[in-house]
Amino acid sequence: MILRIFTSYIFRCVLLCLPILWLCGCAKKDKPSDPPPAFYTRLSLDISHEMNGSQLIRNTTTYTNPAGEKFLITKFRYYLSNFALVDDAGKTIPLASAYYLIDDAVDATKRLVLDSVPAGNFTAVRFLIGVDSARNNSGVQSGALAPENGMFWTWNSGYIMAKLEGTSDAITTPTQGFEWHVGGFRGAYNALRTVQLPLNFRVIPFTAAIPHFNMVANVGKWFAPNEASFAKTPIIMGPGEAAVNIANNYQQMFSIKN
Amino acid sequence: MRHKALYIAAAFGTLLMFAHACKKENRGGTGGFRTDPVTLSLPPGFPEPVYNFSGNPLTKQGVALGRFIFYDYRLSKDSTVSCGFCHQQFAAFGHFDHALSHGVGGQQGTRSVPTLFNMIWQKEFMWDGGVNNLEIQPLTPLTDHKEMGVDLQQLLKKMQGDPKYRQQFSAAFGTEEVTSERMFKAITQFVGTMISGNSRYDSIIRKVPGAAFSPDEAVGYTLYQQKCAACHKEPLFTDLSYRSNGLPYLPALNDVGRMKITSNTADYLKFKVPSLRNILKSSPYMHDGRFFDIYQVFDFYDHGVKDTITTDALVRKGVSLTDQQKRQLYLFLNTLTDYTLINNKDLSEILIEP
Repeated sequence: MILRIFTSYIFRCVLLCLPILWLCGCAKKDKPSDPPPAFYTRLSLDISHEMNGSQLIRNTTTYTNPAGEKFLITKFRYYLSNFALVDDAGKTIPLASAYYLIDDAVDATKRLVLDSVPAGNFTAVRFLIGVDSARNNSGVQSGALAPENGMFWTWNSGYIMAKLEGTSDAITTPTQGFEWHVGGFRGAYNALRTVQLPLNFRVIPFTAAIPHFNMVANVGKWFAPNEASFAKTPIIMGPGEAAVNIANNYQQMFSIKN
Repeated sequence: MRHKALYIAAAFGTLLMFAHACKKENRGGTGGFRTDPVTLSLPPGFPEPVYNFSGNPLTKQGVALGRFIFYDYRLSKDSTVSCGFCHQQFAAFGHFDHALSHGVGGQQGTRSVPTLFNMIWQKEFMWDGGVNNLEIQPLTPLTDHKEMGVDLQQLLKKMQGDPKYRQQFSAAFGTEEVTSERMFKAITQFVGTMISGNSRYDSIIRKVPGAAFSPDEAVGYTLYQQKCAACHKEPLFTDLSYRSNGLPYLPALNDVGRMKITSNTADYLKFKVPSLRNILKSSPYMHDGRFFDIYQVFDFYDHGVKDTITTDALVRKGVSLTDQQKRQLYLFLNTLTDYTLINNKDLSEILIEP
């Protein structure tokens, strides 16, 4: 009697209809989520670090700043974020949100791949040195922004946008160390700096080539035009005038080299 | 029977459909990962909390992990102090009988341990408001050399190597991976559940049958409203502002207060107004714990306020209190002790095996 059900006409119909309905359902669901017919590619940006024209060498090469102070660099790190492209109509096109922590000691961090580059004629690239104020305010972050990366002030919440550390004979403390930690995102002590560099290229849809550029960061620019002396200011560890002065200097450190 | 093959195919299709549906259900959490959501019961009459759990959904497993971390002394540099070492439940998560905080290697800090409750209503943390989000607040005591003194990277490695943590991170977040983001979110979940809004005072305000102030307490409440409530505002018993109450500067500690954060001289000697809830359980008082007895605080406001450029106008001329008024104020403050916080078993210390 129970087995009879399986041979009943209605059951056969239901059995046949169910998978068909299911297939229809799937087909319908997929349609609205199709991506809009747009083309995006990537852009690769390799960064190299220099000291006034020659490759930056940490720990062993002695440099001299405009104040005449001799120094060694042990650490050089900074954040880049909020990348955008400017097209030939003058329009700014923001790229996918991403935060990069560039560390001179880790080569992999100097090879950036920027995502969601649309088709178009571009004339410039624009980015922020540092981490925008929104991310300074919104609690714990991950990836490049994770607090264990040592680029976050715990006692006065906020990211260190860029840091330069080393030693100098001009400093009278026992370690002769300098630590310039530049940060701050509020009001007059906002150390965020926008950089715009000319970059002429064209992205034609559905061509294989990913545009590639080389960018130089010249540490020599940290010391001018605002005076930057190790003897006078060996330690910068909070938002303030000293940090803003340095940020105004290093805003000029990037250039495109191709 | 000629359609037998068709039926078999259809049956097979149906089977596939069910299998697919099941798979879809599981996709939300990998491998049947499931957490039990927790809903906070907020005291009636409290404002909307500042901390928003939408980016950090409160779960039983997350709170349990946060509690484990909170009481794990092994997380400090020399395995001596946990968060709960300084934040003791019986002292409303302040540090009983300690004027200044102390940490690894017997070192002493420069401020007293703040109490922990109603943290989700605070927009800034620490005595000087230097920390701008509840999630990153624990970073400071964890990494401060005078407190728990750890390197965050090493700490994460240490936790990843501990099967107890791998199991609990998996339960709370779906995988065994220990990240700083998960760790801080879990601590935030636990600390977020420390809510104090159920003292005798609250019962009276809510007109719970049988709850009433004694005559002295009632006078004390009026005195509080006249002399204290402008800064220690209901229902949190703090307006969360930064003020200088005229407490004389101590050269030995050289603590300039909020000026350290803002670099603004107008903030010289200003500290966050602390809550008066559970105040009789959380001695000593002031940002440097200089008063061990609440009567010393009354005496200070009565005749000890030092008038400096930044001393708050409300207390500049002192807050006069007679001996009888002090007693009445004391009796009122006593009604602010919340035993459902202090005796809450869900918040109590858990034994952590080495």
